[in-house]
Amino acid sequence: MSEDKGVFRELVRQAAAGFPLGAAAVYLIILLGNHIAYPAPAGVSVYVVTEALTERWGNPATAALVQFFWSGALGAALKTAGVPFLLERRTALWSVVHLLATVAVFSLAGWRCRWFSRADPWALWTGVLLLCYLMMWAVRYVGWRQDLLALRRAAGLSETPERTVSQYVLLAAAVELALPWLLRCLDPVDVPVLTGIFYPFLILPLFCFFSACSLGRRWSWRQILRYAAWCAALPVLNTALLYNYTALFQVFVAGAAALTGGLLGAVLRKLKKTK
Amino acid sequence: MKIDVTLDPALEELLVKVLSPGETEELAALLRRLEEPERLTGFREGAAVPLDPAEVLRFYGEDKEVRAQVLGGEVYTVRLRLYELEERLDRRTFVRVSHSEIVNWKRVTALDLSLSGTIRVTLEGGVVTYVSRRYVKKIKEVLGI
Repeated sequence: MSEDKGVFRELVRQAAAGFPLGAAAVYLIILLGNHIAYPAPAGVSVYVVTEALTERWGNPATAALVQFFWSGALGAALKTAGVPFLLERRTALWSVVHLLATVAVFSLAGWRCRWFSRADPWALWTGVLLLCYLMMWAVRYVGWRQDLLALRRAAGLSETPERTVSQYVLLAAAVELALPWLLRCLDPVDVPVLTGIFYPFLILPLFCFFSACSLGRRWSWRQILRYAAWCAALPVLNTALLYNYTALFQVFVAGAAALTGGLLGAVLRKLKKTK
Repeated sequence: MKIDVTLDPALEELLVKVLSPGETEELAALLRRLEEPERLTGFREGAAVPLDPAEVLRFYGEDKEVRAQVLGGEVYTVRLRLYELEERLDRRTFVRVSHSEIVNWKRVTALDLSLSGTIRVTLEGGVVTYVSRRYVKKIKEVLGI
């Protein structure tokens, strides 16, 4: 309980520090934009809120106050990005929740402050935000990995650790969540051969089968089932975002292939033990 | 008996040099005490059992008491606090891995990274525990990494 309180206190502390920073950063960006991107309207020397925002709130002062609040909220959200890493458990889950919350605050701020007249710049900045999170996660992971290797050396264990289930899940997430989007970019516009045929009928089952087989040779049945559940669950997100409900068969394809591969891996492990 | 302590930062481990005018009873008793491994007492089902620290896999807090899990899986209650155990035992062998646990580092068989960045420690006999991220820095200091 005291640990949770400590994390909550840190969350409040970081948010309080991030609020003025966020507000200052947004106004600074807009002021710099005066010289680069946003020419000030006629009769206005310094431009701090968009015309659309001024129109929405009736006068520039109220508009600036609204923008101050949302910019501060965005700064607070960004400054607390590292707080989930203070938690000992479910760090990855809470960090993803934080990313979603930050995207929500950013989108609301953009909408309420009329920063984006079209969806394209919003998507671009959301992409930049996602990239920042990916970099943060990668840096943390590398740090943890270095610590692990140092401790392994100190314990007299080999420096190359046994592949963990989480590494398999991360790989599955990359293949099942990111790869379809990449393939969609390469797909012909008229017939999506890569995402419609090659991915669900060839790449997905083969990947799930062989990765689960590799996992089955190292880990117990419980872990095989856990991994198969992950393999089956991951395509659901892209079914909603990239495909439609007709692609839900991928859940079955991935789950069945992973279970079969895991079974083969477990059998191979048993055979190796009996030799 | 006179005691003379010399602090030498160049030394990697504790060095005890005994100077004696001859082979006396006092010298023999002192050497026995120095060479004797640290003994602990574990309690289980009303019986007190001497525990050899080398056989202990881990000490951990449970129900406001400190337990010692030994090779073979048996669990004993130890009437010492974790910080007292830390002081009494070899710090490079018995490593504090979290607020409520000390692990026998010589009995570690595997170290893996979980998705949340917590290091999973597997001890002999398949006993699994976790290193708190907050303790990683301290552990590296203690182990001289």
